[in-house]
Parts: sequence; structure tokens; C-alpha cells
Amino acid sequence: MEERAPDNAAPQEPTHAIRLIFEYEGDEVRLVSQHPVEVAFTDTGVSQVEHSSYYVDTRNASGQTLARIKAHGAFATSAEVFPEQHGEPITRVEVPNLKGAFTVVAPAHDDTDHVAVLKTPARVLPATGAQGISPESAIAEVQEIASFPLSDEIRTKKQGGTQ
Amino acid sequence: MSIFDGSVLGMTQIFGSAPRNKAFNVVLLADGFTNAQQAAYNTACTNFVNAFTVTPPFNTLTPAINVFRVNVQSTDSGADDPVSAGGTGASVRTYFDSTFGTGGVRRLLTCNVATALSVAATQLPQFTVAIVVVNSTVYGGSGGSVGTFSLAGGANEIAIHEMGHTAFGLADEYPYYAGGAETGHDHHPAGEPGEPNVTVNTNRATLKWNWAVLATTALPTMSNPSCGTVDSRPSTVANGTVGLFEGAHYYHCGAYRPEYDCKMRNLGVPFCRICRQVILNKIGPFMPFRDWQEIDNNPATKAIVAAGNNLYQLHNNGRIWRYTGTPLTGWQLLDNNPATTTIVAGGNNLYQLHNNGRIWRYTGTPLTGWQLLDNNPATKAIIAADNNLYQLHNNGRIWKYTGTPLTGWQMLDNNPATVAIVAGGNNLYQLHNNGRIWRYTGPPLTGWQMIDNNPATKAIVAVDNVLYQLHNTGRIWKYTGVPLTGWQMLDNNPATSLIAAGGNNNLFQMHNNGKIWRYTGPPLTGWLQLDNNGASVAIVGAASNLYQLHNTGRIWRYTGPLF
Repeated sequence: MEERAPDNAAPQEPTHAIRLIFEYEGDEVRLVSQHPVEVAFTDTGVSQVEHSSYYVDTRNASGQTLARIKAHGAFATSAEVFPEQHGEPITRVEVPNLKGAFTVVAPAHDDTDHVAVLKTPARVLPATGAQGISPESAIAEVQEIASFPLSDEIRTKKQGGTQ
Repeated sequence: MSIFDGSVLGMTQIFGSAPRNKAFNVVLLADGFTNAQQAAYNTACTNFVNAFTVTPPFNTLTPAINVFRVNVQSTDSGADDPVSAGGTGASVRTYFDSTFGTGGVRRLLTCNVATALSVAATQLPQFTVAIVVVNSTVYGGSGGSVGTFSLAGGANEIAIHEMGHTAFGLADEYPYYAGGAETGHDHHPAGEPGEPNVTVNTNRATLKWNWAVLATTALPTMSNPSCGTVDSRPSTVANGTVGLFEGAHYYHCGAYRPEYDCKMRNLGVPFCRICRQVILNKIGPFMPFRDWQEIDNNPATKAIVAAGNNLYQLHNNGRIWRYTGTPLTGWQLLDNNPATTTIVAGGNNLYQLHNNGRIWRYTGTPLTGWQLLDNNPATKAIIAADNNLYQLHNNGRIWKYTGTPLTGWQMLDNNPATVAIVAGGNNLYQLHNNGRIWRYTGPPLTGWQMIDNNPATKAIVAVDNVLYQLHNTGRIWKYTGVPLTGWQMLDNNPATSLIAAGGNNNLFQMHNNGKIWRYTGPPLTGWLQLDNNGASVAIVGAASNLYQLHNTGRIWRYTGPLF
């Protein structure tokens, strides 16, 4: 009989994937590196997006999303400052120049054609403070800020089926 | 001040042996180390590994963790340290261009992230986390896509905290943005944060970490009495209590963290239970199924039972053995009677049931040290929990042993529909042949509360204050304390053939193909596979121990992480 939920945690076998490295400065983002890699995933994709976050989609030629990966650390507008003495608070400061880089590793499907960088807006606050808000309110609309074609090298690797 | 200010010397694996494409791979990168200072970098990497691999839960996941050291030589030593941020004014030529004083804060140590990611990807395409080690004794570090830390004492804690963000998507749990004196951070904005370790939800039924909250823990567990400031009171509950502690995610009120303290709130303290689980869920699936130690191999074994740290086995010739700790040879014969059909254990007690209904308690002397507690042919089952012993008769009567052999039995119920009884701690439950589950509340005979009524129920198991049931559809449910409606579905898999519970809220299931899974939360998806062997026929949990029995008689002890 078909096994279900628990297999989420089963040891995953390595699959074809793509490591993407992006650089950004202000609102501009560039794909600076794309390389095939073979890795096992334990948390592929996201089921819903969060406010004030960045994601990378892999898409087919029709624009259909094949996988969505959260881009941790992308476009950070503040940074943590750590205390030297135990017990003192960690604090955050605004980052003066929005400039940096981030990486994601996404599954490489046979029909992956291009990738897109997405952002979700900051949450629009209700007129009054809310308690016990429903989980659905965490779902945000995504906005594409850039898309990039995959290189011939990536396409060849996928179609060849070998590393 | 760029890649022209040095060169990459090469990569060395300094910890772990997991396959690189099925592992949590940490890559350390050197910055500000000259060619002559590479030994100091190597030492710094070793120090990091020593700290990282003893940090729970990473210490239990080491078979799935690799750490690599990338030696990079820089033209100059150290890092930029601008005077404008209180530094020395040093301006040095290093490969990753690390600098203190970012944003005017000297301790904010950053680097060229794009270069660091590029080098890490070139050296190890499968890397999970990249961290730059900066050659300076000035305290500093930062997070983001690439973590940095200096050689100052304790700075490697920064890297471990930042891994929480970068690799595991954990939120900051501290309740302020700028130390607590800031404005605009009294109340968290509406809406549930996406991260797994902070919430604005105070509803026990829908709380995302409710699987880790005991029914006896108040929610919220601690509330901030003055939202204009950070709640700086000490914890009002025991260390390690999982609940809702107000003040998290940069706000004094309206957002909650799972425990009073956590490494995502303060450096130098352990990760909380929820963060540990998130980490375990991500790395755990990479763990090889080698965390099983064979402790016996005898085809005569027909059953194993465990209580606390004690393990016993029963052979098909009636022999009873206690495990003394040495695999294969460390078994002590406690009895040798072909009449023995069942053994049960509870606390430090061991009991056996004979095919004539006689019940015996082991008093400590092998072979001769057995005390007869009852002698009734109607007895069909016995169960034990801690110091409690119960028996079930074939007419449905349930009896509790009160301490006097043969006469000291108190009848608790008398219902022919009873097909099974289970006990956990001081709790007793019975299952009827129509699926009804009852909890004993006292007094005898009348003091039974019906807590479920579902014909699909095929088994119940209890440990301490927790009760689970298994349906014939494979669904597993946890009782949350409200009769009839208070059942939380933990899994829904038709392959499930049995469930077992151990101490510390550990729950396990076995599939009809021998696969063994441990519940890690959250419901339905939070199951971690521990083994995959078609020979498995039974699993037994007790305290922090898990054992399995194969159809060949082999007994195995799980040596992997159990919380």
C-alpha cells in the first residue's frame, strides 16, 4: 500500500539540482553563478510564502513553477550585532547599503527552463491590533523582481541525466 | 582588497565521513590569514568543530555532518577596522575583504559575501553553510547568507546562532530590536510569522508546537505585564518547559517563543526544544540506519519487554533473561519455567504470568527469587507501570494489586466487553471490544470515564500521562485531555501495524514492512525513519531507550538520538 506522510522524513537519495548564486545591489539582482550539483533534499520547496521574504522559483518554458525555495539572508536590510558579554542583548542595526549575495539549491527538473527571483510585500497591518489571527493571514502574494534563463550547461546536464 | 589580495590554497575535510551529497556540509573559509598563519587558521577551525559538534542537537547528528576547511591565504593579516566605528584604523588586503565596523558598529564584522559563496561552491558544490573565519582577536561576527566570526573567545557562538537562520529558517527569539529601549516594538504586528519557533497564536489546539506542550502547562506560560518594556523576570516554570513565553521576534508583547531561553534568543545557551527539533528534522533524514546495536541473537526469543533502563526477554521455552549491558553475552538467566507465557515490567519490577494464571514477582535472586502474587486460572493478561500491577480476567474483570500476595487484589471493573488494559504512571485505561476507551478515575467499578468511542480503535498504549490509540486504518491519535473530542491525529498511514511509547514523550510506530519511525512533530509530517528492516516484528520503548525484535530472534538497541 502506498506510504504517505512519514516518508517526508525518509532518507532522501541525491537528485539532480542546480546551485544558483545571486548578487544584489539596491533593487537590482543578478544571477552570477549556476552550476549543476547532486544533493539529497530534506525540505524541498515551500507550500506557502511569508510576508517580507524572498524566494527563487524554477520554472518551465510555459512559466509554470516547478519548485520554490526560500532565499534565506537575501536583501537583508538589517544585521545582528552580538554582545561580547554573556547576558547582554543581541541587537539589530540597519544596513546602510543594500548590497550582498545569496545562494539557493533547487531541484533540477527535466523541463526546468529558467529561474525567477520573487519577493513578498511587508504585511499590511489591520486598523487595530489583532489577536488570534488565522494562519491564512500569513499567506502573501508574490511579486517577480527578475528572471534568468538557465545556461546551456545546465540544460545539457539535466537532459544527459548524469553529473 | 579583493580576490587579488590572496589565493585559495585548497580544501581539507576536518570532521565527518558522511557522503557529501547526503549530509549537512559546513564549509569554513579563512580570511586575513597570511600564508605563514595557516596553522592558526587550522587551529581556529578545530576549535569551531569542537564547539559545534558538542552543541545539541548537532552532537547527536554527527554521522550526518561534515565540516570542511578551505585554506585561503591573504596578502595581509587581520581585517579592516575603521576608526569611524571605534576601530584601530587598520586597512588590510584580504581575500574576502572582511571589515569590522559595518554600519558604524565595530562588532559587526562582514565580508564580501559573493566571493565567499563563490569559493565555497567551487570547493564543495554540495555545501550547506559557508562561514568565514576572520583572523582577529577583536570580538565580532555577523550572519546572513554567509556567517562570519573572529578569533575572540565565544565568537564561534555567532556562527552557530546564524546557522539557525541560514540553514534552518529559525527566527530570532529575542524580544527587542535594539536592546529593549527602542520605540515601536511594544506589540508584534498581526499575522503569524512563518518561522517555526515564534508565534502570535495562543490557541492550544492550533499552536504550531502544541505537540511539545504538556497538557498541564499553562498557555500563555509567561505573559509580559508591561509591554512598554522587555519582561526581564526569571522564568516562572521549570527549565525546559515548552509553552508560550511572551516577548519574541523583536517585540515585547504579542509574539511568543517556545521556551524561556534558547540560542536563538541568547548566545551561550542551548537551542530550545522546538529549534532542536527543526534542526533534527532537517539533518535527521541524512542519518544512516546504522544506529542499531545488536545485543542478542537467539532464535528462541519470543518477546522483549523494557522498563526504565531495564530490558528483559522471554524465550519460547519459558526462560527469562535480563540484559546486563554487554551485547550478545551480557544476559542473566532469571527463571526457567516452561509454564511462563508472559513477562511484563514496570519501574524496577518484573513480573511473569504462567499458563495456569499464576502471577509472580521477581525479588532479585535469579531462578529462586520469585514471589507468587496470585493464582487464578481466569487471568489472561497482566500489565505494569512504575510500581503498579494490574491483571485482566477472561470475563473482563480488572484487578489492581495492593501489596498482599494472593489476597491483596482490588477489583476495579467488571465488564465482559473489556479486551485490553494499559497503564502509564498512575493512569489506567481499558479498551472495549466496541472500541470504547475508558480512563479509570476511581472509585472502583463506577469510576470510569469514557474518553473515546470509535469502533476503529485496535490498540491503545500509555506512558506516564500520555495516551495514544491506533486505528485499524493506521491512524494514530494522541489524547489531549477532553473526552471524546480531545484527540489529535498524529499520523494517517494504512501501513502502520503497531505503536509503542517510551519516556520523554517518545512515540514510535512500525509499519507492516518493518520500517520503524519516531514521532518528532508536527502531526502528520513529523516522523523520522529510524530503520528499514523487514525482519522487525516488535518494538519496545522505555525511558530514552528503543529496542526492536526480529523474526530471527535478534534484538537490537537504538543508539541514535532520542530526546
